[in-house]
Formats: sequence, C-alpha cells, structure tokens
Amino acid sequence: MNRLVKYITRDGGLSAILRYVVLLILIIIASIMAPGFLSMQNILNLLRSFSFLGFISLGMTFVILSGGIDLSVAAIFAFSGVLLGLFQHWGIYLGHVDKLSLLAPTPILFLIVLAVGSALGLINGLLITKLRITDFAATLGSMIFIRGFAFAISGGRTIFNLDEIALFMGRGMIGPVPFVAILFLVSVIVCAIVLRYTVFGKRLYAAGENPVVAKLSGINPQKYKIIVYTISGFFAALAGICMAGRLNVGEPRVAEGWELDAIAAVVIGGTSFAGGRGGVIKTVLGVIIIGLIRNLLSLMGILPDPQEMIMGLVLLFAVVFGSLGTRKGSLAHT
Amino acid sequence: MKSKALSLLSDYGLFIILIALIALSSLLSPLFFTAANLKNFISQASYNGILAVGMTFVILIGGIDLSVGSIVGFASILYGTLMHGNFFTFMPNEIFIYKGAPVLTPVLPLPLDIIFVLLVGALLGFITGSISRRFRIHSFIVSLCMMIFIRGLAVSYTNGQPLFGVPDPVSYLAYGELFGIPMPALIWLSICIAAILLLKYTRFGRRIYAVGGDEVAARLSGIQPSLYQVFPLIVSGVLAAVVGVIMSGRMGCGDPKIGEGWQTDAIAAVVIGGASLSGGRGGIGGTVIGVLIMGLINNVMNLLEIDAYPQQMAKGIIILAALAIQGIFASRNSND
Repeated sequence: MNRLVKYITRDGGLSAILRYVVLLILIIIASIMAPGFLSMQNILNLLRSFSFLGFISLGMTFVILSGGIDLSVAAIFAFSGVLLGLFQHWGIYLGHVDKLSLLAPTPILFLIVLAVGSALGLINGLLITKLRITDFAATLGSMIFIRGFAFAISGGRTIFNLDEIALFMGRGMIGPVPFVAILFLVSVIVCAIVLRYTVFGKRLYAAGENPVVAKLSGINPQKYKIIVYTISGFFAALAGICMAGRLNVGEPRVAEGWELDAIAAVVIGGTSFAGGRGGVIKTVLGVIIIGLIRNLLSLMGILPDPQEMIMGLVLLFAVVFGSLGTRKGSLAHT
Repeated sequence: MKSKALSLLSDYGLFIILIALIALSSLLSPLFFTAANLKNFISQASYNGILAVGMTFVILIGGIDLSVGSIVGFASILYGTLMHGNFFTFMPNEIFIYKGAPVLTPVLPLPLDIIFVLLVGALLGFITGSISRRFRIHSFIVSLCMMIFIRGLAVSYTNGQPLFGVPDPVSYLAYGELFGIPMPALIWLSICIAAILLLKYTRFGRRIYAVGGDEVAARLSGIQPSLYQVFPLIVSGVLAAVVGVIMSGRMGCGDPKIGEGWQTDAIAAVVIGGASLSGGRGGIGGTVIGVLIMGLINNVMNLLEIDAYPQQMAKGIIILAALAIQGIFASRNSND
C-alpha cells in the first residue's frame, strides 16, 4: 500500500498517470450525460470558457513555483474589467452614461489596463519583499483593497456596452476557433518556453526550490518574487479584459472566489506548494480538470451552493494528494 | 536615547494609537461619546473580539484559520435547524414561509443545543487542524478549503434561507445587559480572561508558545508538537461557533450567510495587536487592543457616513500598514 502511494505520488504531486485517469473519467461521464459533449463545436466552446480561468492560473503557476501564493488575482481581474469599462465610458463623469466615449484608442486602453494590472502585481511583490509581509497576508490585504477600489470607482454599478475591439477579445473567432482560446494557447507556449529554456526560468525554479541555496549561488530570490507577482498581475488583467469583452460589461462583482479555482487548478495540475516543482503545461491539465468538474456539476443540475461545497472537497483532496510524497510539504514558512 | 524612545514606542505604541484614535473619534463626531454609541461599539467589537481570541491561538502556532467566518454561518443555521426539531435533515420548503412567530421544537433541552453546536465547531476545527498536522500542509490552505466547503454546506443545508425564531435566553446573550454592560462584551471579556490564564499561567499555554516559536527546538526539549498544533484550531472552531450562536440571537434567526469575510477582520485585529504570523509571538492583550482599534475605525467611519466601498479600501490599507510596520520592526530587530 505504501509503495503504491509512493508510486502514485512519486513526483511530489499527483502523478501524471493519476491526473490523466481523472481527466479520462470526467470526459467519459460528461459524454454519457451530454451526447453532444465530444462534438468539435462543444470542445471549442469549452476551450473558450476554460481560457479565462486559464490565464489567472498561468500567473498563479509562476507565483506558486516561487513558493508564494497570490490571493489578489480575482480582484485584479474584476478591477481591470471595470477600468476598461470606465475608460470606454469616459463620459460617465460628464453625465452621459450609455454612449461610448473612449479615453484613447482601444488598443492603447488595453495597454494601460495591462500596465495597471502589472503595477498592482508589482506592488504585491514589493510588499512581500521590501516590507517583509508574508505572501498570503500581503495579497489578502491587497485583495480586499483592490476589490473595494473596483467597487468604489464604479460606484458598485455595472458598466454596460463596450466597443467592437473589446468584444472581439472575449467573443471573436478566428475561423472556427475562439480568439481568446488562441490567445491562451499562445500564452501557454510562451510561458512554457520561458520556464524551460531560459536562464530566467531555470533561476526561478532554483529560487523557489530553496531560496537560501539560490541566494548563495548568486541568484537574488527577491527579484524573482517581484517578477512573478508582476506576471500574475499581468495575466489577471488580461483575463479581466477578455472577460469584460465576453460579458460586454465592466462588472466589479465578477470572478469572486476565482483565486481559489486558480490555486486548485495549479495544485491539481501537480505544481507543488513548496515551490520549485511543476510547470504551466501541468497547470493547463489542472484547468481542464477543474473546468470539467464545474461543467459536469452544472450538467447534473446541481445548484451553485452545493457546487461550492463539492469544490471545497475537491480542492482539499487535491491539496492533500499534492502534499503526499513531499517531505516537508508546505508547512514550512516562506 | 533614540533607541530607548523607539522601544518605548514599540511597547506602548498600540496603546498610544488606541488613545489617539479615541481622542480623534470624539473630535470627529459629537455622537461618539454617547452611551448608546459606546454600547453599540463595544457589542459590535465583541463578535470580532471572540473570533480574534481563537485566531490568536492559531497564529501563535504560526497557522491561520480562514474557516471561522464560514463556521459562524454554519453554527448559526445549525442552531436554527436544532430549534426547529431537526438535526441534519434538509428542510422541507414550507418551513421557510414566515407565518408569524414560529413554534420552536428544540431537539435537545436548551443548553444542550448550544453545547451541541459548539461541539460541531470543535469538530470542524479538529478536522482542519489534524489534516494540516498529519499531511504537513499549512493550515492556511486547509482552512481555505474548509472555508469553501463549510459555507457551501451551510448554504445548501437550507437552500440559503434563514430560519426564524430563537428562544429568549439566546436573544438575551445578544441583547441583554449586566450592570449596563452588553452581554456580548461580557462573554468576550470572560473568554479573554480564560485565554490569558491558559496561555500565561499554565504549562500547556507556555508550550503553545514554545511550539509556535520553534517546532524543532520544542520537540527536542521533549514536547510532542501535534497536540499543541491541533488544539488552537479547535479553540478557534469553538469560538466561531459561539459567535454563530450569539449572532443568531442578535438577528432572531439562524442565517447561513452571516460571517462572510469575518476571518480577515479577526486576522487583522490579531496582527495589529502585534502577533507575528510566523508564530510564537503575540498575546491576548495585544489582540484586544487590535480589536478595539479595528472596531473604532469601523465605528467612526459609520458615524461619518462613509460609503461601504471606501470603507473596504480603508480596511485593506489598515491591514497592509499593520503588517508593514510589523515587518519593518522585525527586520530592524534582526539587523541589530
């Protein structure tokens, strides 16, 4: 029995085999329950709906690889959507609410929003490294602040109607493939290459695995902490923009609790909380599993609240399984 | 000389901030020093205060308990269902239609109902603590999962509906007064005294500090850490259930949705009170001051009629500032 557990968890997280088995079972159940499940059309649709969670999980992967955790991503997600909405309805402050009034051409607005999201991530990184606040406490504080900020600048209202280019980010198609899915796949490939084949990536793994040793070998772990939180903020903002386009609104309530789904996706994928082990391809698998579980629960007609209960259990199992096989687990303080 | 002033500030700094805040509050709003407001302030602070006592225990061992807010909601709805003659059955729909004051049919004689709810709170804390201990996962992550799970359980239990009707003794816990002091404050006070006695004057309490400060050193000096690492989460679960019961009395119903986000207020109060998130340092005295500071800021912002959203932003900034000040002091001490 012990040997079995050791085998299943030999790479410190859920082993690849177990994860693929879970995925396969989910797909089989889904295709029995919904006959059209394996149609090309539905798969493309699923790809799109997984992409939003996918973006923030990508950023979260970097953060967890560095041994940290980012609870503020969902808040940055919502904030970015609201910011985009406000930038496209600049006239809201002049009294005309419904008319589009762009502050600048939309691509420039995108860049501004992405920059703001990255800046928020950067601030997280600075709080953690320069002011020596524990990762989760710092991002918990900034989560509360940023969500409050999103509500404050929108007055708690939903900002309806965005322009064509913004809609394209969430709804656009290139041929039969949703644009957002392409954007996500490109991001995954870029991240995977950066992590695997660049000096930055290798040093990030080293700094996450053991900050002390990394420091002794001339890597500054703090620098990598700051960078990963900035990346996380960037992807949260990107997800926020795409979601705003998909829903055609800037909405401060969007994505509440998504930070947990992202963490679950990363951990189920097999990236270890202890830092330094895992990767983005694994995370994609985790995102698909989490997305499929949610999809299945909806297919079964389970209401949102019991769904949350089940997701809590799923997350707990993922965390416990993920910790088997690592000796120190993540009880160690970062 | 300068360092003496600094250490004086770090020892009594909290106290000075509290007094300065009280002075500022009375300047900002003439309503502050009225008996009604003070009573209101202290009974509102008590709820966070009770949670913060449990959180202090958890933070002392270097853990964190994010599930307390959910336990408050679960305890409240569990208490409600007990009052309506059920243990764990999911309710029929008719029961939620309000038809005047409901007839209560408690499952157990009155004090036993409350004790049952507290035991369930203890069980939930025990689950979090023992999973965290057994699998060596930081309690912050385990309690995060438990937070989602318990909230989902509480809300699906009655489809999110509140259950009206609580017996008088429980309303008394929320609204009663003894010598002009609101009951919640008295409950908070007695819990604080018990906690101080336990932490300061028993071997058990000192061992909690020892395990929190350095687990390895504690084990080498013959302390078995598991007990001391699980016990604080049980305390936290029980105290969250206490808050859930009193809250039911306050609102006149069992409500599965209350307590959302309360864990952050409790954590903030403990951290403002000077406890270190890495464990081993802090105490109930500091936490009480932290709770009062948080409560004062809330109270004054309400008196000044500031909107909910800027209030939320302010809360985030206060938490970050408290943590930052602590981080700066800690790094200064370690540089010396």
